[in-house]
Amino acid sequence: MAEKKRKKRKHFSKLMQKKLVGSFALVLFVLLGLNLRIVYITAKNGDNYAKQVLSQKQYDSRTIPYKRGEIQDRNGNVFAKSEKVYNVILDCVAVNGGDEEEQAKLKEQEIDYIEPTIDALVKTLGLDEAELRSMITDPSTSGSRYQVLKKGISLEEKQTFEDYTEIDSEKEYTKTDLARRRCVQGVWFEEDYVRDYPLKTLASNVIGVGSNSGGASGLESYYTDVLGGTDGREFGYLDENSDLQRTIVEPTNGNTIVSTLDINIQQVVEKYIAEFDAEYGKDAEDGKGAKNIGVIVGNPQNGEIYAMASNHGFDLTDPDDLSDKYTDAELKSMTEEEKSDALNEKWYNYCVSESFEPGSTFKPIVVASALEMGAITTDATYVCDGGEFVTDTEIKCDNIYGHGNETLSDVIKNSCNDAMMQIGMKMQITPFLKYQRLFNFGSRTGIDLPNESTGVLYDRDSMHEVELATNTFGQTFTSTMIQEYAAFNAVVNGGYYYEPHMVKQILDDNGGVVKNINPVLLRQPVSTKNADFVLSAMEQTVLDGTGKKARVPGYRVAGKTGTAEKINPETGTRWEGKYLVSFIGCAPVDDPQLTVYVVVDEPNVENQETGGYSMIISRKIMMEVLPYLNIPQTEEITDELLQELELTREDVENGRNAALIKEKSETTETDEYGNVISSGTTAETDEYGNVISSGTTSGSTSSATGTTDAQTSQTDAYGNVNSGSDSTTQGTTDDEGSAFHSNIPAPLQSQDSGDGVSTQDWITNEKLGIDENNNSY
Amino acid sequence: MRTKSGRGDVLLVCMVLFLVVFGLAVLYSTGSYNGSVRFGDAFYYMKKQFFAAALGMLAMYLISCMDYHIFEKYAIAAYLISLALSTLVLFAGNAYNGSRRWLSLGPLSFQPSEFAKLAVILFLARMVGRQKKKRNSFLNLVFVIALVLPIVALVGTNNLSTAIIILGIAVIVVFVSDKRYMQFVWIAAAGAGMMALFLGMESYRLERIAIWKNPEAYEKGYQTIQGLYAIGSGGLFGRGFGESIQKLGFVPEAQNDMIFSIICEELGFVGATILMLVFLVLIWRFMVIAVHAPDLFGSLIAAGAMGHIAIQVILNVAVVTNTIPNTGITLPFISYGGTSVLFLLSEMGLVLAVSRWQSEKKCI
Repeated sequence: MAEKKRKKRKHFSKLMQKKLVGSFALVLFVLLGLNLRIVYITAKNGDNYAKQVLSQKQYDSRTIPYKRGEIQDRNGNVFAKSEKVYNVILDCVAVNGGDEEEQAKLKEQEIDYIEPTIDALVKTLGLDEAELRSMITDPSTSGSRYQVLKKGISLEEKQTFEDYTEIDSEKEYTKTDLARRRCVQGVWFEEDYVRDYPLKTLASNVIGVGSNSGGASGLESYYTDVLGGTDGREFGYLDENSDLQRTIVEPTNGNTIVSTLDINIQQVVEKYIAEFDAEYGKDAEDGKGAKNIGVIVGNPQNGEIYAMASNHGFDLTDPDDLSDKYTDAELKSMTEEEKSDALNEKWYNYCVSESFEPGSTFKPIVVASALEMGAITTDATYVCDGGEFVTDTEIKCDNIYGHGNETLSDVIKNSCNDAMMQIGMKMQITPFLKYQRLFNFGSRTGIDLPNESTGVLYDRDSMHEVELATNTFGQTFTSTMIQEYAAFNAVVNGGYYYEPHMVKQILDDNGGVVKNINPVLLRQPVSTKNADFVLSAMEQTVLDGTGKKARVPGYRVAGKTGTAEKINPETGTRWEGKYLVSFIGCAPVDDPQLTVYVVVDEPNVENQETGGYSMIISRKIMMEVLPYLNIPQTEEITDELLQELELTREDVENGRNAALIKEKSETTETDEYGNVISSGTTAETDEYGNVISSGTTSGSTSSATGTTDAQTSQTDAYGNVNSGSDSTTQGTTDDEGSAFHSNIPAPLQSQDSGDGVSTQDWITNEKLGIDENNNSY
Repeated sequence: MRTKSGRGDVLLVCMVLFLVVFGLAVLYSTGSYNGSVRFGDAFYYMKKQFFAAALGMLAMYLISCMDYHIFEKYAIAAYLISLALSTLVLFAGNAYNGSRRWLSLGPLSFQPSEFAKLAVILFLARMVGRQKKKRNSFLNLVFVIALVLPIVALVGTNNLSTAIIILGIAVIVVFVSDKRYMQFVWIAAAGAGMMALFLGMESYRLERIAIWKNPEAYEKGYQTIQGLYAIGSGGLFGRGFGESIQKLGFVPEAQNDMIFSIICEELGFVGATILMLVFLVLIWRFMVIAVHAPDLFGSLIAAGAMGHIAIQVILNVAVVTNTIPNTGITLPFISYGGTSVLFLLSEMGLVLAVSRWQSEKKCI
């Protein structure tokens, strides 16, 4: 049956085939024609249409900006916020009366929109009349539906305009007034946000520069993705019946970050930095009391930073102002790149981006490491004979006559370089380098701030005995303040290395918690037992050693001083007379709750290494912050102590009172601390002067150790030695950390400056694979 | 003389697969904005289309494995079903954008007019293929056209564009199967006359022509002019895949009829030309399969499919480029529409089944 059916079937005839091919040919030609039509459209109107597409992008579908999140301190005080403002937009087509047909209708009725609209804008928003007129009538803009007239007006200004033009059905207007109001057309307001910093300069290096759309430095830059949101959109589309539909996609606002900073502590820190600048910067060109002052204050138990400041703060509400450093003529001649470099320099955060030789503040870390690896024991004694021959190089101790017999605790207390070198030799190079790395030297601490430097260390190939010896007292390698600060905390909190951090919580738009940022314990480089030994040695340092000026009445303080002679960048050798003096300390010793690290780089005084400036700043900060943190006094305040510190009981009370005031009025005290010296502590400013002029420190001797009264008795002798020193040991000094030694080479980063150093096998930044200042902005 | 080669037309399969995959990609790009704005899901259109395409591919495969002669038996029944469904949709259909075109079956919705196209192809192939003596007479020609008029009328009440396509398929099938030429001139003249009458009857259709001539002057020319903006701004190579601005609410329903304009904007003249070439290859394969088919039924199925795809592609591109007045015709395989993709792929399966029964004698 199937056969039958098939036979019946017909096939395509030749004619059918021809017709089919003909149809295909027709299709081919039509498609070719349509293709040419596309070419024609593109060639004839392509550019024009492309412009149309871009222009209507702005009009029909407008962006609704998101609100960037706030930056708050730990108690919710606002460092940075975004405020809503309005942009004034003019729809020129609407002002002109719409399309030609509509315009003709209006003309018939003798209605004019242009004059009343210009009039309203000029009267209420103070816009330029001539400019408006040309914008509305000029052919290049008259067809535009989106012209920005003014950016960033406040709600009040917007209200003024609306009061002048809006028609409220409840109110009664005169006939002419109503007509006038009706004829104001084509003006609307677009929401926008501007970034505001209510505390202006406070913590400027940390908070950083930002706008509503992004951040350029500091927390604004590091957390820019967290703070940022997603723009919303309002757009119109036509449905199939050509009805205009409007849909709004709401913006997603950014999250708020709660920093670990405390504005009260930050204010205290900045107050004393400003005080120092005021005192010693009087005769300086830039008004600074030192080339750099950096202070970090925080909690050693969890890595939280309470305050971080330098003496290079700036006004966050006017971050682009370079007029304090450059003349108008200079600014005009600057290229964009130069300007950007200058701004980056201005926004630089000294505490995390600058690396330098830490000096003697590094010694506690070496001692703790040596104990941990078993190279030394706590009951060992050392003999300091004033110096050590390392291979064929003599490296002197501060006390070139030697500290004599010392216990391990005395080594820290006296900041003895000789004994440190002996400890280093017992440690050997490889373990020494290992412990440097365990305390995160040579790598970023991971703090949540941009542009953190790593410092530069030796490695196994480049380090020899001399470098090992000098490294033990914090010279010839570099670190940042935050590295030294974090490593010190690990020694004083029982051996736990916490990653330092600036942000503790992220909140959403409505204040709900998005994320709590918990302290990150990276590792325990040393045991609690060994750490506690070093802590008690550092308490001795403050009680009876090189750190006596850092004592805080009523509290047990432990700490370590550092005085590093700097490198002359031009010669690459030690720079006599240029010092970076530092102090790092914590309190209370039985359970450290507060660490303060103060660096004063090249104080603007004759004898930079004396005077203990950093210790005094540290003490002043602690005197206010310890009571503020509700840490009870445990020690008796003796008159003897007050006399030594040149304080009165009133001064001590002032610190406590200041803390009490702060607690009462937690939030807005900005103005009060804006005027730094006017606060009750002015009396203390004189103290610096006293210290210098006082006979006890015998600052007159050129290279006195300064810093502590206890040592001053010996300083006169050094002066003599210094002048009479022979050529090989020339330039011996006696600072407690880093004296002037022509045979201690410059640290690694400056090796390119040549001179005697070049024969050494220095490692370079490139070898380490480290970009020292990875300024990304 | 007749062999069952066992293998379908490989080039045809390749082209169809390309179109389906390319279509899904373009649909995602074009529909992601509208999808996320209206339904909160950028993949909304693409997901639905993907489901339909997967189902369609399965249908294509199964149908291509069958002996297509089976469908000859059911051709009339299919035609009657499509008539019934098209009637049903007039009373029980769901309206979307003012037209009743959808029948709902639970969560699924179904557009009977898409099924009608396939049914008409089968029906005409069956009817013309079985006619013997009367094939050359003019009356016969009128008779065949008259057979499809009920469905054209039913579908045309709310979907004029699809009605035109169905009529076009009928004319093509009759044209290739008939020996004469002159009659078709008459048909073309009659068609043009009817069109003029039809347009005159309803003023909104005349308005469409006015808009066509000068789209910028009319508010309703918005879709057309926005489509032209998209094409013109694309240039030679386009803005790049996914970079269209016009799809952001400017070209209304960009994922439907106007999708070709977004292809021009994103992939430029080059991309659009490649796509048109793929369609041309597809149409060429239909022609080859029609010529090689073992019997008239098979030939006419291929010819009908050829007419279907050719008419739809030409009309769609012509509308988008404002070469003819605006009428809603989708681009096969690419535009959003689940029913359309499902039945297009079934139709491809049918043609593939025909291609497996090739007659060796003839070759082009």
